[in-house]
Amino acid sequence: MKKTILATAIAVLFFACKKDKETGPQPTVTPTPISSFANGVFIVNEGGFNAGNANISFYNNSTQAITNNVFSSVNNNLPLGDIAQSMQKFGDKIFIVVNNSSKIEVVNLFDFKSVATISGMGSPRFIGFINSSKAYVTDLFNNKIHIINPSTYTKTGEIAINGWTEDISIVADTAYVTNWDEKKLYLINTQTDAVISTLDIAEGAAGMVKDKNNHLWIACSGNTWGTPIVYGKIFKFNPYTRSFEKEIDGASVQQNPSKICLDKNNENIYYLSGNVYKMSVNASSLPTQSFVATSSFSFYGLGVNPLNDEVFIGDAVDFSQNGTVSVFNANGTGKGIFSVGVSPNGFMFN
Amino acid sequence: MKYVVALLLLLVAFSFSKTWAQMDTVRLREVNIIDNNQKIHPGFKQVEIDSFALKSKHFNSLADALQNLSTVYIKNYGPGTIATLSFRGTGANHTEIQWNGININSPMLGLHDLNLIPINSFSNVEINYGASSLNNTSGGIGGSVNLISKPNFNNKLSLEYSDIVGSFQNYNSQKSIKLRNNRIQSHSYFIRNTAQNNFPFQNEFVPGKPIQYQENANFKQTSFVQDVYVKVNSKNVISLKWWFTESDRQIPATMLSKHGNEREIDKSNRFLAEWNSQQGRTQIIFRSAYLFEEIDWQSPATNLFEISRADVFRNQFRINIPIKSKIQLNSGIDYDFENASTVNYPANVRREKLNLFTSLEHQILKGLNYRLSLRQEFLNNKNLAFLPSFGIDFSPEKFKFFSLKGNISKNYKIPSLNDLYWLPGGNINLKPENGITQELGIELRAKNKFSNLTFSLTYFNLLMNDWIQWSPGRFNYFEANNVKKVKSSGIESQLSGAIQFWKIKLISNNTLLLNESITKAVAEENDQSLGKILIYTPDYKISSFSRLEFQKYYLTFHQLWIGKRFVNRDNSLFMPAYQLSTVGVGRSFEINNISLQTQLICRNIFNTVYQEIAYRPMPGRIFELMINLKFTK
Repeated sequence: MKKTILATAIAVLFFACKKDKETGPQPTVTPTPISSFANGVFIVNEGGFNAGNANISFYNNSTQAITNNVFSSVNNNLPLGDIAQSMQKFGDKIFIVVNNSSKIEVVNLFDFKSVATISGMGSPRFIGFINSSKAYVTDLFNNKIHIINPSTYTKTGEIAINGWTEDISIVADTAYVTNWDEKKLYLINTQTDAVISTLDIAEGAAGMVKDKNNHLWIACSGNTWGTPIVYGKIFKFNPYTRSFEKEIDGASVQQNPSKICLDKNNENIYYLSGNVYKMSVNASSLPTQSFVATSSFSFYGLGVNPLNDEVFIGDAVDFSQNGTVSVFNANGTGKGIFSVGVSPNGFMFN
Repeated sequence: MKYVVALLLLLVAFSFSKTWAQMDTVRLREVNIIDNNQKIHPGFKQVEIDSFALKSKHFNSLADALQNLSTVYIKNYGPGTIATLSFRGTGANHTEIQWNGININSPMLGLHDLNLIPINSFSNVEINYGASSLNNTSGGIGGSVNLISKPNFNNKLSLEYSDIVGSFQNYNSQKSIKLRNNRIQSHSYFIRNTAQNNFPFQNEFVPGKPIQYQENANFKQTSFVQDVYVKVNSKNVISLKWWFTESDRQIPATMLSKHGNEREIDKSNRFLAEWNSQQGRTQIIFRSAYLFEEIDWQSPATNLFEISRADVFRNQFRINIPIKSKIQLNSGIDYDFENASTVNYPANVRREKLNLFTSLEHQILKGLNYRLSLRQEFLNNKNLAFLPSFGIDFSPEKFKFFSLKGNISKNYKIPSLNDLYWLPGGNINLKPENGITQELGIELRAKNKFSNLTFSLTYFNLLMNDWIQWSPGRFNYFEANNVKKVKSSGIESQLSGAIQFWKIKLISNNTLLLNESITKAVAEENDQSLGKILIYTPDYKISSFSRLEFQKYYLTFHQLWIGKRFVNRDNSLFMPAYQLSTVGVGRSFEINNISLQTQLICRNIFNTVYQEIAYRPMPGRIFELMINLKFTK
């Protein structure tokens, strides 16, 4: 009797194993695919470290519909990778930097189909595009900036820089790169790839945005891990005079600014420090009142729609489950909330 | 509280005075003297892993043996990497791994990696489900696994050598010497295990779906075990045990990332001294253990090199006294001292624990027994918890094939040192996780000339409060807090036995676990994990192990079915269910005092492609050839 059961079991197994099965993580609810990515907002969902669940969501501005897991559903269910750090447009392509998979995925802006994968970078963070044959990619652990060719999708060189290079902006023929732990702002000549100047900023460079006058706003988030706590600062840098026009301290209000954004007319900046804050570009001190407050301290992404000043806030909840994005009108009234992927950390407006 | 202590002291005094008087009149068989403290208590579920299955070397790791022979679930990140245990839907840190009754979980992590435990130097492995673990210590809310070594060597000398050669350069060699004379037994083991683990797998998650080879997954482990038993006289035995293990392993990346040459070296050095005394019908045990552990983490890519160390002293006093013919009293005192240092703590941290417990076992009627136990815990001189537990066993005389048992208990688990002191995020104000467990089960037995079968079915229900979870906090880092409530319920079933027909003997062990473990309360209102199933707890687990013997040949087969596991707390992604089959053949030879056993095992014979943990590859078909040579006098 036992033998028969055993034999049957083996037979069943044999047939069961002949099927071609999915072996990776499967969604409980299959997302509905879309094909148009115009007039909307892309959300970068970082995912968990070594969890392999980075993905991109797309929010349609007119229908307010959200589509999740865009990369996988358009590209044969291939996962995007591990830790999607940032996403940027260049021409008709989108470059997605996948930090812990050591690569950049390049897709068409039009249909999100995969075009190429650029590898050879250790732990890439952000890209600065210089021209159609050169871009710089900052790096977290490998003490260098990678030079890539965004048309041939290959890595072409390196610039040795000690420490964690983070944000990057390009103005004319100079690249401006922040360094999180060395507390520096580097000026790099984009023709010669040489560092021409090094300036001091503060610890924890966690966001940089360029305004209409090509001035750079830099958020430094300080250091909350040590004792005593080091609060952050916001700098405004003029690349023409190569000097800082503003240095606003966060200690007096106990804030650690990050993810800095500008509104449409460059009248206000927005940043995260637990809550979301809004500050006039002419202010000389950080606001005490928040624009949007939170009790869960899990706000992780911030973006401002350049068309209508709508504010997008990514909430990572517990950095393990799917996060949410809340949309607010410029006057601070809530417009909606929708569910996205894990740890939404940034937005790209199309 | 004072009454408990007074009662205890009174009982101790009472027992000593009585037993000295009885010294002349009672003599017991030697075998009973080294009775492991954890006898099966009425109402509580304790299952012993089939020693025979352990000894026949079908499983070369404790993780594999537990996964295939019991209802506990092993979460394995890959060969040579970390493997943790989950009882009844609880976490790895809700399980206590014990060595001869002594908790060997890391005080820093609050858990133990099962891949670091060599299996063959233990004579028995006992699994205590739920509150059964409370009969020795607290902290195993889900349960405990006790690795026991016994002086059960009955010859004069034995030399044993075994060697396993397996796929992907897996070499496992063990040498042991056992000696015995009238007074002393010595068991010595040397175990060396190395594996390259460079197995091929198809990476279906990158374009082209290429075949890749697992990298940076090398594993090297050396263990020494020395057990000495000294029979001082017919009533007293002293045991001295030493267990040293050093594991050096590389940590592989996932299928979506690149490794950075990460490596971890784990060292543990453990000493245990035990005095076991049988005074008449009273048994007294003193145990004292010193445990040292060191974890050396190296990550050149991120420039992180950290060494963590912990010293732990654990002392136990136990006394088991029969009072009248139907009542048994078990009492004990435990004193533990833990000391740990790592760069991630603000300073050296220390912790002291004192536990007092007493329990009463009473046979009310023939076939009806209950056990009531009370445990009081003190931490750093502060009153921490009072844990009552009650179990009942009904085994009617008329129906010897049937018994019913159940229990209800309170249990708790103190936060690990990492939860309390880790910089940043550790929370020194954490309360212990606590819970109430209930279970009810039946057992049916059938025995005749040809067969011996046992069937058990248990329903369990746990409600846990103040579950510790690390969540985002005020300053951009994660903080530990007592946030969750979890309810886990399910069924465990086991059918095992031996059947003999004609010249063939069949031994079989089959287990089933059905479990639902749900988050019942969360801290934040936007947390979608409320009402959802805990991650990496399968909804079902079925295992089937069979061994067929015919003369000197044997054939083994084991099969595992693991149900789907959710990957994230809101259950939006899950890992699909999978199954694994393993087949083995072997033959033994005996000439005079020498026995030789050879065995060929094929694990994952159908080359199933699966992942236990998302994006971590698992090997396909593996072959292992084993030779075991034993000389006995």
